[in-house]
Amino acid sequence: MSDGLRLGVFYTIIRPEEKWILAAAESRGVGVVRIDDGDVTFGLDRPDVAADVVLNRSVSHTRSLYATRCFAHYGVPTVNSPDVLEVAGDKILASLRLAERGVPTPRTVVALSPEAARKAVERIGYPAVLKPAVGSWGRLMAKVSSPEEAEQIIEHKEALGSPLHSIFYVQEYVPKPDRDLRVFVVGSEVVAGMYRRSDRWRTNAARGGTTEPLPITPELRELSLRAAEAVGGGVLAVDLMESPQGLVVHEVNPTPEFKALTAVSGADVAGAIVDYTIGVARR
Amino acid sequence: MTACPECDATVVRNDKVLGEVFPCPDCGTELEVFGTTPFTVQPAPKEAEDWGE
Repeated sequence: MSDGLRLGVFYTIIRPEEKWILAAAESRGVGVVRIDDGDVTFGLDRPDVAADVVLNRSVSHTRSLYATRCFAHYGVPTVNSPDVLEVAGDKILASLRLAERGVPTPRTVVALSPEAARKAVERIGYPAVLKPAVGSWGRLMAKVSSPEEAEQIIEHKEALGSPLHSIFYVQEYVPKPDRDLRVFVVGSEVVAGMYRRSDRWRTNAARGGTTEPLPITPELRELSLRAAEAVGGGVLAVDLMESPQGLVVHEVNPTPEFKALTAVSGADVAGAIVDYTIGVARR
Repeated sequence: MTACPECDATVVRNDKVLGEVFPCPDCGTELEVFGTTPFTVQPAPKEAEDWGE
């Protein structure tokens, strides 16, 4: 039942995920307002967009942050909220939050200059993984196995010029099977999960990793919900690894893709997201 | 139908919606549906550094 509800879908491009979301909204009788993140403008005094709730599907972290703040200014709730996007979209903030909430996560050291980054890598030991604080799909991630390799990566990052590239997020390399785990959380429910497998060290589906169904054990469910709750809760994909000490959460994605997950699990992920978003509008 | 801006191949709308991204069947360039009536396409936006999940 829609009650005349207007669901804003804030997007960059329309992928299969967004098509499924639009179809799920339509099948529930919900009016959809499409909001192109490259076209919309936001005034300070009045809402420029007529929506009762906005589902963020922009692939740009920066646009998502500003847009959800603007919608909040208008009193329009968003999924996810600006606070969740801010924390989960930044690996440093997310790691701090996971650690504060006692969620097991790989050993991590943050450094704010190239000089400090060299010390951070030494603290972590080899091999270590350097990741950009913001970004996804395995982009600009580097595994370093020696001081020489670390030096090259740090120099390259410094040469990229942007101040953000001189912020270093250094993590232990977790020796794990050739797979990681993705669990999709919507509100207080686990909707589905999958293994992502690759013979390379990065298992991202965007990097060509393959997928398999993942049975959701009570331990996996409990840990995934705790990780999602730690960053503020909402629609979140929790990424975990099987470390020798047990499961560790290494990422919580705030605007997750779910094409591969839908294919491998058969779950109606888009429907769950739309139902949750409608629920947020009615709170 | 319309033409791919990169290779001039014929591109058909079928059930594509506004904003949808798809590869040109001939050259593989990622295209974005820019208009539906009439059907027009443009090269899809390039992946930016802050793009992701």
